[in-house]
Amino acid sequence: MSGEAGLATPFSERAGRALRDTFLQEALGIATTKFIGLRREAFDGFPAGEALRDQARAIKEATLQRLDVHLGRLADNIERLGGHVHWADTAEEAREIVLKLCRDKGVRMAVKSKSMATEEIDLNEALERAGVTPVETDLGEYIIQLAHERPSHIIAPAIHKTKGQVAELISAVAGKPLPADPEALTAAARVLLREKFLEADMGITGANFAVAETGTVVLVTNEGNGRMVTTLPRIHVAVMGIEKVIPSMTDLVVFLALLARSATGQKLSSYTTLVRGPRQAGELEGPDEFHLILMDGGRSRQIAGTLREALYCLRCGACLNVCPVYRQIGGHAYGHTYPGPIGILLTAMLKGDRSVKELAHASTLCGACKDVCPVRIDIPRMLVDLRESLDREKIAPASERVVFKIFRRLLMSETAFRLSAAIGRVAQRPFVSEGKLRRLPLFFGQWTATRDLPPIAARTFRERWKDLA
Amino acid sequence: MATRADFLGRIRAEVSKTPGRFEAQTATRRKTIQDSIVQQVDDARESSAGVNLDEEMTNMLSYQHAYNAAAKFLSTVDSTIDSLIGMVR
Repeated sequence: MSGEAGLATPFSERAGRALRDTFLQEALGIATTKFIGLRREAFDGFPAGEALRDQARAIKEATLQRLDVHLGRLADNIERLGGHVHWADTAEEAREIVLKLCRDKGVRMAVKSKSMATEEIDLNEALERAGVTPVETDLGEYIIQLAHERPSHIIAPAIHKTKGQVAELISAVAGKPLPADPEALTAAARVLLREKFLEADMGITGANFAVAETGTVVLVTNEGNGRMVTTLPRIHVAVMGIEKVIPSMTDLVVFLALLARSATGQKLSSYTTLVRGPRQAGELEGPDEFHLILMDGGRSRQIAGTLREALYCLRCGACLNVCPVYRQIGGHAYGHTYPGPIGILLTAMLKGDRSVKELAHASTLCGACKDVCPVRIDIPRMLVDLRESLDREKIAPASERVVFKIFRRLLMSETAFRLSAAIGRVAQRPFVSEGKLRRLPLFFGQWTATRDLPPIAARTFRERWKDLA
Repeated sequence: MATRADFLGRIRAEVSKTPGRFEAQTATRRKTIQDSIVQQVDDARESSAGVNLDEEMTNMLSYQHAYNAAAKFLSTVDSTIDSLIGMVR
């Protein structure tokens, strides 16, 4: 199933299906709650964390202001080491570059380490069509690939799967029944994947960071598969968005201190892989060829755009775990590569505002995402801006625009506001029970179908203030 | 495929469109934040290794009180013995 396949149905339907899926609800509840706790503990024991978050944000701001210079330096350093740098304006171009490399070098099988950038360009489907077998080697991604699905979380792709479901998938490949025991399943997957590493001609990765000063591509993983993918096959291809470049190794330290803590609550991930070009003379490990694909795909437009801050994102997934919407519906209901609060913004960046006309409202604007973001991205603010521009460009449904137009009129005039409050106070009477609005007529009923609304107070604040003052 | 010159040229054009305040703001902000991190680390070091005048003064006062009390005790013992000897005589 492609990530876009779900888009035939409206968002409300996709979300509704997720809410009724009891397996999904169980898996999501357990996993997100665990992640929230781990992250909180990690930052509680790390007093420098808050200042480092400011520092990380400032580095991202400054890097964007000289993005062309840093990318140029990164490319120079990689070429100096004997690597190749490719420039891709669009997702299609990035895909085409990989396919051309496969054709030119006679690649039959490619092992992949977890990468959202390659999900973004639908690389696996393109490889299969071209006769190249892609094999995901991150355990979560491997499970997802076996199930023919897409990741539902940025860092935990199979977060929506239960142990039992995973056992079924791996048993089918292993050709024997396996127990629903994570340890046994991991061991089985390890054996299956080990052969693939040795067979593959190409290793494909993303990049968590790329250090301009040294030409180093940095991969943050927990399974060590990233290291095998970058060393065993004869060709290594890394695909990265242009915003992943950072100026120096000193900056890398700041980001590494925050990334794993925000994502999984670890001080550092189990493996931090630093790759510099192809194997050099005298080195024992590494590929014969190294290719870096720098991808724009709509990113550069936002350097001076309203979604600029979304370019600071480290893809830690912390905002997904705390989001009351994500926690209920999971990643697939969003229908795009990047789910959750940041995913809405990234989708708007990569595919245009029109693609998120429903998703822009899939947020309560509670601000939990902003609180946990390692680089303090103001997600709620940008979602409000997005809603406004959807309204201005008349992309939002007509009914919604009319309601908001009326609402705005009421709020802009004091008389109209007071009058409507007075009318509402009388009109609500038949619907108030036990101090709550429990059931409303007409389309207002959509709100009260799943939650109560507090009634308009009998006396306004201004009236009460007269007595108090 | 895009060429390096075109690719970076477009990014440069976008960067030049951003409000001018960003460049200066980010430089000063990074310094302010760096200073606060240094301060925080210094404080942490001081709190475990350094001399805290308030704490030392409190300690000194309590030692002084202890010394005074001990001295008072000795002088009381001394005068008691004196009185005892006087009674015996």
